[in-house]
Amino acid sequence: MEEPPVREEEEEEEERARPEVGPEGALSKSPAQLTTEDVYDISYVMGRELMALGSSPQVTQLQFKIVRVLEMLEALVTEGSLEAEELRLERDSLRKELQALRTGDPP
Amino acid sequence: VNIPRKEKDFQGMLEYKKEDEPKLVKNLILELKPRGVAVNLIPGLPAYILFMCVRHADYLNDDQKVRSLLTSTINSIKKVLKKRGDDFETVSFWLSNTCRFLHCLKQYSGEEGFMKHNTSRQNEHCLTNFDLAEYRQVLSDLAIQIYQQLVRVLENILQPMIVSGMLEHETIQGMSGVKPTGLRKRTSSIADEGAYTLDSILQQLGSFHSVMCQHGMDPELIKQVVKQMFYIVGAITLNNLLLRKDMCSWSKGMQIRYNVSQLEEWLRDKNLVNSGAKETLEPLIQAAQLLQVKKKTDEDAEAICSMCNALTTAQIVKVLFLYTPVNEFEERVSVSFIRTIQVRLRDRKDSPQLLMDAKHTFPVTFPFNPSSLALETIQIPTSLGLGFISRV
Repeated sequence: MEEPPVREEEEEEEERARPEVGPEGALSKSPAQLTTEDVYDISYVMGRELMALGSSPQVTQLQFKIVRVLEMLEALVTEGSLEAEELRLERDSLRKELQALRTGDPP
Repeated sequence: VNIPRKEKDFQGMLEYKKEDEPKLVKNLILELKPRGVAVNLIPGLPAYILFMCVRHADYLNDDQKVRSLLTSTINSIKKVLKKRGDDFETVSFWLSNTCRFLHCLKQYSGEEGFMKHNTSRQNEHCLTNFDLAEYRQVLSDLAIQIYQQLVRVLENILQPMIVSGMLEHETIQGMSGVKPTGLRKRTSSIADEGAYTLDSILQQLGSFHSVMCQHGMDPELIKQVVKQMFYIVGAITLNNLLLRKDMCSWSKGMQIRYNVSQLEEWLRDKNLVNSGAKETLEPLIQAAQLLQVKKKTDEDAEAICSMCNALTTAQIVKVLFLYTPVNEFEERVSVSFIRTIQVRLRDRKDSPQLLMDAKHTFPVTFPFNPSSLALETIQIPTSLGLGFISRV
């Protein structure tokens, strides 16, 4: 009887949280929680601000350096989360092995 | 006058080997994701890169290379849209880039009419050997085709939301005469689970708008898309009103006017008041007013006839006919009142049309929109995988 309202509230919260994570919201996230989508949003926001500065050669040079930095960030975000996942799996399996050795029959 | 720079001064052209052309269109068009670091930071980048490749082929005076590149470009864009043509993001991305490519071909055509806003450096970048006016025509036709596809995609997404969000869902609590209970909010949100509300529509409009902005679509083109979206919302809502008795009451009129005001608020918020979008809602607004005004005396009839100039006689009569009083203080519209209206409107030369054509598409135009971007400063981001082309 009590379950449905609870679930509903969770849904409402999720919906309320979503608009905040718009293009500008990505910059206020914790680096560990960054996704590639956030990196693209940051790109768009920064691109708009750079464009507002005009198109002098200095600005464009900076623009392409920022592209490179963001490409690196994108790669780190993707690889970082993959690596962390791999390490987590490895740790869990080692932990299981250890558990088995401890409780299992002694050699 | 040159700005001193350590690196080599580039001329804003890109060179590739003829045999690399398939690889070029594969990485730059066929397999390019509409969302990524480089294309998000520099909207229109694929179009600029393509144009810089055209410039080098023109510089080499290689008509075969120019023709081949333009043909593969057009064919590849068509191929992407055939494969992922139901994805709003993809269609919006290629509409923006096709337009930007077209603008580049004009801006650097060497025709004076298109050079008014160019810097002197940009004028040096004009094509020198080939007149590509015929290709511009082909690209403009392609852009029209992509626009129509975009309208179809957004129509398919919006359509299931409209009746539910604009007419059925109650934005104003307790309007319909159904007494709200203490638990109204809870119960109604359970009942609405899965059903679309006005907020769903506004959110959807917002996400369409933000995608188009991110793709650097021409502001004039965004206005036309928004006008078309508003027309779809207005036409589908009005058609349903004209088909359903339960939608023709004083409280539904109130509801519709409130929803329309929210849509107008959205336009103000996005700075789109001059897009012509609001005007497309006029028939719906007048139908909502018609539901609310007094419908009894000759003066009432006269007021209705001068107010409803965006509705046909058939539509006015239909609304009056379907009108259902919500409470004991209101009365059904009398047959003689409807007769009076019909007589008054007899001289009006309007169409016998009852339903609006919800599939109607306003003809699109692509006003020339030159860019201040300096081609000689463009570099090729690594993530595009175009290491085999070089700056000249």
